[in-house]
This record gives sequence, structure tokens and C-alpha cells, in this order.
Amino acid sequence: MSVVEKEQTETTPSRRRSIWFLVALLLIVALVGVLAFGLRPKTSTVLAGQPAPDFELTAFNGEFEGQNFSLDELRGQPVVLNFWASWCVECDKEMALLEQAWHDYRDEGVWFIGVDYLDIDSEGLAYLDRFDITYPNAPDIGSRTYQDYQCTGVPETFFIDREGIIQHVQIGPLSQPQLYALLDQLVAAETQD
Amino acid sequence: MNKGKRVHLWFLALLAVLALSLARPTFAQQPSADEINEVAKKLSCPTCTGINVADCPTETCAQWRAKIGELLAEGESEQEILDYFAARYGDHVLQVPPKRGFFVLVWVLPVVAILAGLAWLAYLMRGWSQRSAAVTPEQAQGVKMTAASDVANDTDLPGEDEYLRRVEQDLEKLS
Repeated sequence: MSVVEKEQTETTPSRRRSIWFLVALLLIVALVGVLAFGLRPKTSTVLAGQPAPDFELTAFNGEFEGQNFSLDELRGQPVVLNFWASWCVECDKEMALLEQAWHDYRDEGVWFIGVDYLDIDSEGLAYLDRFDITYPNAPDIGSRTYQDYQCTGVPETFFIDREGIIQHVQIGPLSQPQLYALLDQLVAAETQD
Repeated sequence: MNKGKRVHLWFLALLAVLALSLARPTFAQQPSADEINEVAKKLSCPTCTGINVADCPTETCAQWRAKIGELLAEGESEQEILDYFAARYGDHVLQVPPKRGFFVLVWVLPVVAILAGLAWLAYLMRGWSQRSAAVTPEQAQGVKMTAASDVANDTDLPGEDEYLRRVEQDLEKLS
């Protein structure tokens, strides 16, 4: 056996072991990567200043029942997108306020859209009746809108300008001065252009 | 219509009624709490972590249990109800992830990991057995030969020769 052949036969098993080790290492890294991607912290506040994800919602209440709403179609008008649920105690604090603001800013072209998250439809509708809500609300089918907006719970409210950019993300219930100040900003931005 | 024909028709009508009543859903009446919980335990509480809908005390889960009861009373099967909740609220509400989309990984990865582990173990064991099979006879022979030559070499040591020569001389003197 020549020296070269001897070297080859001696190095092949260790080289094969190294390849196996590399393959195993790559698999582990890939697995950890997938887990890290799935478990990465998500929060809606990172969306502030970003283009709002589009949504397709079908209203289930009042005069808007059965009407489809998408962000694309509402482009050019400010949108207040509010996530709520009938089982959400904190949502109680802002529902009447949102309804009042809808009346006050409807003529300014502001659209209020409620997204009913993880709710039984009948319970959601009863909840809307309780607060005499008239602006369009829709069930979040498959929780897709909630996930697209990276919500962390309810209530959460997104203030989207007429260009479709999220100007503010509110986690938790809104106060009246805060809501009206944010709405004034949205409307002012619209009239400036 | 003669009497025999009329009886025959009545008999057919009775059979049709019986068949229809048998074809009615299992839960024609209000389902029991156990029947509701049987389905509810296959759904995860959407607002808590690690609790199924049957065991969860929140208002959301109470609403969901009521909805399950409603669907059971309408004659929906367990799978149809689970499909309804998955479509309405997302796949993440199912206790057992569906075998589609991203969730396929949950089913595939453990199997792949176990197979990879077994393959790795088999590879290592093959290496060990090959090494021991290649080493045992030759090395054993080598050890024996080394021991024998060590003994032979030991006797050839100069100091040893001198010592043996003196022992022999002393023995001769004694004799």
C-alpha cells in the first residue's frame, strides 16, 4: 500500500464523521431557527410608522351588515381599527367613547371599524347592542386580522392615516382627550395634503 | 284503491317515518355537559395558556361551551364542530394541531429527530463493532508477542547475566 493510499484509508472515516457532524449541526441550527422564528416576541407597537396590513372584513351589525371593508378600498380616508371582544372587561371602558367619536368625526371622513376577536357572533352582537354601536364591526375570521396586526390582546386600536400608514398603536383602553387628539391629528394630516 | 294496497301504503309510510327518525342527528335534544365537554376538551382556551375549553373557568370558554352545545343540538358531529372553530378562530384553538401548513412540522420533526438519532446511533455502533473486530485477534497476538519478547529481552540484560553467573558460582561452591 502506498503512503498516499494509506493516508486516504486512514482519513476517510474521520472525514465521514466530520460530514455527519456538520449535517447534524446544520439540522439542529435549522430546528432552533424555526423555533426561534415561531417564538419571536410579537408586538403591535412595532407597526407604528409602517404601512398597515390590508384586511378583508365583512360587517355583521346594523346598517353595515354584510358589507365588505378592506383597507385598500378605504385608502384616502383615515381609519380607526379597534380590536375588541364581548368577554373583554377593559373594552367596556372605551366602547361608548368610540361610538361618540364615530358620530363626531364621521363627517370628517374618518372610518371606525371594529374587529370582534375570538368571540361567538351572537355574544358579539349582543355586546354591540349593549353600547348602541352603529359603526361597522366584523368578526375576525380565522383571527387573521389580529395576527396580521400582531396584536397582543384586546382592546387595541390602530390609527391609520389616509396613506395607509399606522400613525399610532394604542394598547389598552383609550381616554377621551387622547382619542380626540389622535383623531384631530389624522384629520389635520388629511387636510394638509 | 283496495284495502290491501292501502295497508301496503300505510306500511311504507310507517317505514319512511322510522327511517327518517333514525337518520336524525344523534343529539336531537339538548346535549349533556359530558357530551359538550368531550368536544370542549379538544379545543384550547383562546385567552389562557395550556388549558382546554372544558376545564377553563373564563367567560370566553363558557360561551364556547354554549356554542358547542348549540352545534351538537343541531346535529353537528365532533369533527364538524372542531372544523368550525378552527375555521372561525384559527388552527391554534385546536388541542391537536392539524396535519397541514406550518403545523405539519409538529408531526414531522419528532419523527425526523428520532430517525436521525437512531441512524446516528447505528452509525456509531457499527464503528465500535468494526473497531473491536479488527483489533481483538491481532492486538491480543501483539500483546502476547510483546510479553514474550519482553521476557526474552529481560534475560539478555547484562546485569541479569552477572547476577545469574554469581548465583551459579555460589551453588557450585556449596556443592
